Amino acid sequence: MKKIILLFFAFAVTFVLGFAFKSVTTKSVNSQQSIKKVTGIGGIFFKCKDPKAMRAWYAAHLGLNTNEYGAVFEWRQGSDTSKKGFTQWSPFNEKTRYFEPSTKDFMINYRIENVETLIEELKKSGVTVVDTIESYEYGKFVHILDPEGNKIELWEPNDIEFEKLGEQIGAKTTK
Amino acid sequence: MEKQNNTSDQDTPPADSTPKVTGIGGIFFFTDNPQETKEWYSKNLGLEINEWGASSFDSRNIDKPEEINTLQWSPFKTGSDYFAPSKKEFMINYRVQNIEGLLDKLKENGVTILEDIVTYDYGKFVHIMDTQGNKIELWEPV
Repeated sequence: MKKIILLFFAFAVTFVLGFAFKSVTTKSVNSQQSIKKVTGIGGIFFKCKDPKAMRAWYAAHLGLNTNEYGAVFEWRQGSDTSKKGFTQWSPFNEKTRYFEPSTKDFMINYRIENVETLIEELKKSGVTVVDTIESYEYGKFVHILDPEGNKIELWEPNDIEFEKLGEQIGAKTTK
Repeated sequence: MEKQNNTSDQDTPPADSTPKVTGIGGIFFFTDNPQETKEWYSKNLGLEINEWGASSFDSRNIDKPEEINTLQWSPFKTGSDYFAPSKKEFMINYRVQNIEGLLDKLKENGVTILEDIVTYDYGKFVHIMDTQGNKIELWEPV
C-alpha cells in the first residue's frame, strides 16, 4: 500500500513539475512573440509589359537611378541612424513566375529580423510557407502567402553586403 | 524650409532642389477584406496598425539623418476609386522633392497629370499615370 501511495506521489510530483516546466517554456515563446517582426519595406515588385521601357520611363521622368534590376532606394534606419537600409524597386515582365502561386500584379518584400524564429511561429499559426529559407551574402529569404493569396517575400537583410553588391555592378542608388 | 549652406555649416550639403523622386512614401493594395488583412499582418508579421488603418514605417534621410521619412502601408477595399483610372491592384506613393518643378517637367514631357497639386498639413500631393497604366501618387512631405 505504501508503495502505491509513494508511486502516486511520484506521479503527482512529475505531473506538477511538467506543468511548471511547460509554463516556463510557454512564457519564453510568448516573450519572443513580442519582438519586432517586420521592420520595414525591403522591396516593391510589380508586373508590366515591358520592364526595360518602364525603367527608362521612371529614370527619365522621375529621376530614379535605374540598373538592369530596377532601382534601389537608400536610407538610414530609424532605430539606428549609423546603419543604412535599402528598398528594391523592380518592374517584372508580366509573364514572370516569381510571384507564383500568387496571381496578383505586385509583390511586397518585407524586411524582418530573426527569420528562423519567425518562420517557426508562422508555421505554428498555420500560415502557408511557400519555400524554405535561402541564404545569400546579402541576406536570408523566404516566401509566404497572406490570407488573400498575396505572395510575400520576407528578407532578413545584410545591408553591408547588399551595398557591396550594388557597388560591384556599378549601380547608383536613389535618395 | 531647407537650411542654406554657408561657411558656418560645412557639413550640411547644399540644398538640392532637383525635381525628382527621393524615396518610396507608400504602398497601397487592394484586399477583399481590409479589416481581416490588417489583423493578419498585425498578428503574424507584427505590423502596428494606426488609427487611420495604416502602418507607418520610419526611416531617416540618408544625407540628413535628422530628417524622419515615413512610408505608409495601407490595404484598400478592392475596387476603391482611389486607384482609378488605373486598373491595377496596387498603387505606389513616391516621395519627391520640388513637386512644382517636377510637375512642370512632367507636363513638358507630355506625361498624363490627373489633377492639380493639393496641399494638406502633411504635404503636397498630385497623381500622374506612368507609361503602362499605373497611377502614381507623388508626395512632397512638409
